[in-house]
Amino acid sequence: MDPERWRRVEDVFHRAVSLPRVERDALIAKECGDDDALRAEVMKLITADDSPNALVDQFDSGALRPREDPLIGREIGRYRLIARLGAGGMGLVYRAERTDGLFKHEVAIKLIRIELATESLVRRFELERRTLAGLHHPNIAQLHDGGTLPDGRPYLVMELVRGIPIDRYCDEHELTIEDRLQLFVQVCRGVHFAHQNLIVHRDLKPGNILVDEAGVPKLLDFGIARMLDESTAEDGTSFTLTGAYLLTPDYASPEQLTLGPVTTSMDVYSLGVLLYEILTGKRPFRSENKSPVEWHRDVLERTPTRPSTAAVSTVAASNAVAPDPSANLTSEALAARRATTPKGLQRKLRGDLDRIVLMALRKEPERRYASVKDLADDIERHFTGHPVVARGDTFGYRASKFIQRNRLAVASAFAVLVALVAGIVLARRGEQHAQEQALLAMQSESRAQAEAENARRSEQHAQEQALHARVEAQSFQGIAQYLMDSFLTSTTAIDAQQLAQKRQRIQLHAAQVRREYAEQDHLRANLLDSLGQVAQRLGLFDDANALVQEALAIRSKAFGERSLEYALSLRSFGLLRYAQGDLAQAADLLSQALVLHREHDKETHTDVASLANDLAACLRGLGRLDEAEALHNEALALRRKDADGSLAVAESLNNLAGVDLDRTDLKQAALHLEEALSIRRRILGVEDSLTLQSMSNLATTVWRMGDRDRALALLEEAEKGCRALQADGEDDLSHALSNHAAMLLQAGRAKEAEPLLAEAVDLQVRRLGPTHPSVASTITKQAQLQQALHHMADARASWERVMVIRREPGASPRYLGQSLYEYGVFLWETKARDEAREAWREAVDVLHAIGGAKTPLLGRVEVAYGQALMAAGDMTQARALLEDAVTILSAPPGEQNPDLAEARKALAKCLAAIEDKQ
Amino acid sequence: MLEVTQILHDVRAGRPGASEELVAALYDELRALARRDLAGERPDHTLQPTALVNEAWMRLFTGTEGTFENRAHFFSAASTAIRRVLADHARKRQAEKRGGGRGRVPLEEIDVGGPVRSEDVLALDEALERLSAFAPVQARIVEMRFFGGLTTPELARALEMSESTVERHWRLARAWLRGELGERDGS
Repeated sequence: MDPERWRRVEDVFHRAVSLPRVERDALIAKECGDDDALRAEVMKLITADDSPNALVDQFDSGALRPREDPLIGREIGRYRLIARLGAGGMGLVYRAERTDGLFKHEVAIKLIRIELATESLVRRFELERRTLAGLHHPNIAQLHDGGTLPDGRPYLVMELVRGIPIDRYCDEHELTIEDRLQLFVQVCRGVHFAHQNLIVHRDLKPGNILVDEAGVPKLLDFGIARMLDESTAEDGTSFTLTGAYLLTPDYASPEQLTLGPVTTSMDVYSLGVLLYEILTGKRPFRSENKSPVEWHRDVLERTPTRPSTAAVSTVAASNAVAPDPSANLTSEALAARRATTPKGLQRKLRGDLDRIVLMALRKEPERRYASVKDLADDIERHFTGHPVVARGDTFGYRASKFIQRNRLAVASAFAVLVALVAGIVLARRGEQHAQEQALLAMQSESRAQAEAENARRSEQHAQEQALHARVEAQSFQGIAQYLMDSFLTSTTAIDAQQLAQKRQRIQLHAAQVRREYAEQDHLRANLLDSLGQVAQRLGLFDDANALVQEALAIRSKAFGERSLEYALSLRSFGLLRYAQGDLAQAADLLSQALVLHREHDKETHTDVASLANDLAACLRGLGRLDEAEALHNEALALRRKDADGSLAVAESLNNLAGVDLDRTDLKQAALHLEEALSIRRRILGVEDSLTLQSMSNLATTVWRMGDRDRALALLEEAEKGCRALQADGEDDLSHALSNHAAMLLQAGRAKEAEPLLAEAVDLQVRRLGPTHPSVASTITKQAQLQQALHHMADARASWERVMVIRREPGASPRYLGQSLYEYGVFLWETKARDEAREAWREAVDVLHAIGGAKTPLLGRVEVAYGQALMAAGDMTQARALLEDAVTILSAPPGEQNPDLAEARKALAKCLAAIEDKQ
Repeated sequence: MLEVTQILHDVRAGRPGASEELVAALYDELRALARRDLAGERPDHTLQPTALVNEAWMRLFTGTEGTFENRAHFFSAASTAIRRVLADHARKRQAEKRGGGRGRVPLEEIDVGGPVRSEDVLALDEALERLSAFAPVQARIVEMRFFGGLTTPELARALEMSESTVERHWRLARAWLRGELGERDGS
């Protein structure tokens, strides 16, 4: 059937079925006329419309679609899944039965989440499974078997425990304190047995300790935390994420929060929390409704309220909190569940039990019970009336000691948590103090990032080294680190798909930040700004723009436009615009930021120095060389004062050399570059992006000074270094290659230069995008090369590509002027004189419009334009231009500049011509 | 599965060509699962085609944020992918039958929500192929209903038409299918 005919069928069908049955035939007869085939088709459909078809109905009722839980009924090994028991962060748990029917035997099967099933995890699982299978103890749920599904997911077959969590069991059976302690001691025996087999649980909590119908407590999931944790850590992936799955924050020990070494003492602590809870009905600390920072501080610093006090106090009056706020019991009801009165409960807990619990909960692992057995033994001593080992904490040990020792780890744990946002607990009502602490971490992080950014950008790509240098100097930079690690694991060579994933993650994080920190302007702005910087480094400029400007708006509104926060945002924004090639806006933003930093940064001047450096780089790009030089010199002086011979000093020297080169002051440039190179070589070695850049810059300079052999040798050394860095050296390599090619070209070795340049252009387009200014510079060289090889059509096409890039909005007018000049030279040489003259005219206009001191470039363009005007017979205008050129070119370094001689010669010719005429 | 999630994101963002890519990616994913199962080292462990689909389904939905706002886009592409995988399996099974059952038959009959024979799946697949030649929209609606389980409001959203239009198309397509599939079965 053709669509046309079908439409006809369709039309008649719909009109017919909307009519009462009796009127249908008439309509069909009228519509179909003598088209019998049409009538037959419509009739067939109308009949079918009324007659159900089992197959079609079956399809429509879901025969081809998935069931609710597709795994039910599925066979795994010798078992068939019967029902789902639960789902957790780690995976799904099913009840399953034997399929061979040999005996009625039910088990629990735990399926690990597919995302966690990395290769190394699977290997680790196999290993651990054997150890755990050998662990036979009446209080430990037996691990029977395990394996891997065809899709790679590991699973475990375990003893099916039909029981309820220990805390609920105690309350539902209204166990006395003595009964509770007896039960707890059994738990301890199981844990101790595992410890003797070198297995630490690490996630002890009521949900993992079930009490069966016979009143026997059984420990679940022994060793599983370790399987998951270590394998993911080994990959270096998503440690914190996995940690989030695993860690049940309320039972985690201080050393778990600070990612300390795994020891049996962690389980002692978790058992202490459990004991506290089954005795008092409360937990020593609670993560719920607290910011991660607050909660960490509690666990790391605060001594829990004594159980005897907590048991009878209302929640508000105590550090301790009820595990389930909805079940806030009166102290009478709470005592009643323990078959006693509040007074009786207090009496039972006071003394021995207070001391035992608090000893298990000490911050320092070495000051807790040495083993779980010691804990259990002490409880039994209490029963039998013997003096307990536990003593009050009277030796002046304070948590601050712990904090002091673990300061760095604590700080980074905070920051990572804050950054992750989703993590374990979400900050809801952070206290002022907590926020300030987080902010502190954030601000130094922002600074650290800005510094790294600065180094990277002004030299184009040094972030790795800058980061290394900073890691030692900065202790608080958890977030920076986190962001780097997670987004920039390989700083380069990211394919489109990875980039898309990173982009998605950035957006996801940003959304979380907006949601979770809606009320906290400091944090929100800092995090969004950091994410923006990450996006920028990944080359995701649109995202970066949106994020950085969002942070800017927040800071402007919350702190005002004279604040340091606002200055930080101006700087991020400025650096972003710089990275995008919009120098004019970048300079504007950075100078605003600099003004604010000068006001705020009266003492350290580090930010002033690096901002001055950034701004100077912009100004140089805009051709405002005097201002650029002054700022660079200011930054250099500050940096020398701070630490002479440092990488920061090298940066300033390198950038000053750029200004020198723009002025054609080769001698000065070479001096600056030699010093920069020697600092970098000394600190960073040869195979380093920054060293390689200095090398390549120096090569260009000495080439122009006439030392060709040294130049080529330097470049070859640089290229070797870049290739050794592989992907990380690509930017530098393209730079070195294109310089090298230019030199070969000048030396008349165009054929050798050709492949070098082609490689350079490919590298740059891939890494910087097709409209980046650096791409234009390289294509310029390609055009010159093509011209040298007499491929004129190619050369012209290349030049046109260059001009398109140079005319991009926001691009540097100085570069435009320079390119126009060079394009004009090309046009002139290919006899397109009118076009050449037009290009030079425009170049003169563009360069004049920049304002400020007149550059040698302008002089050179004026010489060219002047000569072109002479050729066209316009002597008057030519003379004016040439006179101006001579004035410009006479400025230092004056006589050293070959253009000056050319200008004088041209002017003389012009004057002679004018005289001839007269 | 990450790339699928990404493409899905692109579909939502309206990137041209993303829908086709999503179908292709889902199809590859399902096929990969199928192959792994077929090549599995456990001969006692055969999986049903629909279980494969389920598997992919599960994998897609674990770890994604909440529910898909634009469930429709996803199911639309998934429907096509599932149809292709099921039809492939059915064809293979038919070929094996014709070939005298040489080698082991790794796939059982599709038996989810009642036994569906591979002949029927193939008949449906072929009928849809014919339908799409002159009535692509109706064929699409059937595919999304049958293989993706989309409801009328979801179909309306995915196809950007009113619910009553969806209903009209569905009614006609159903009538046509009843005729086609009925004829084949000779009922």
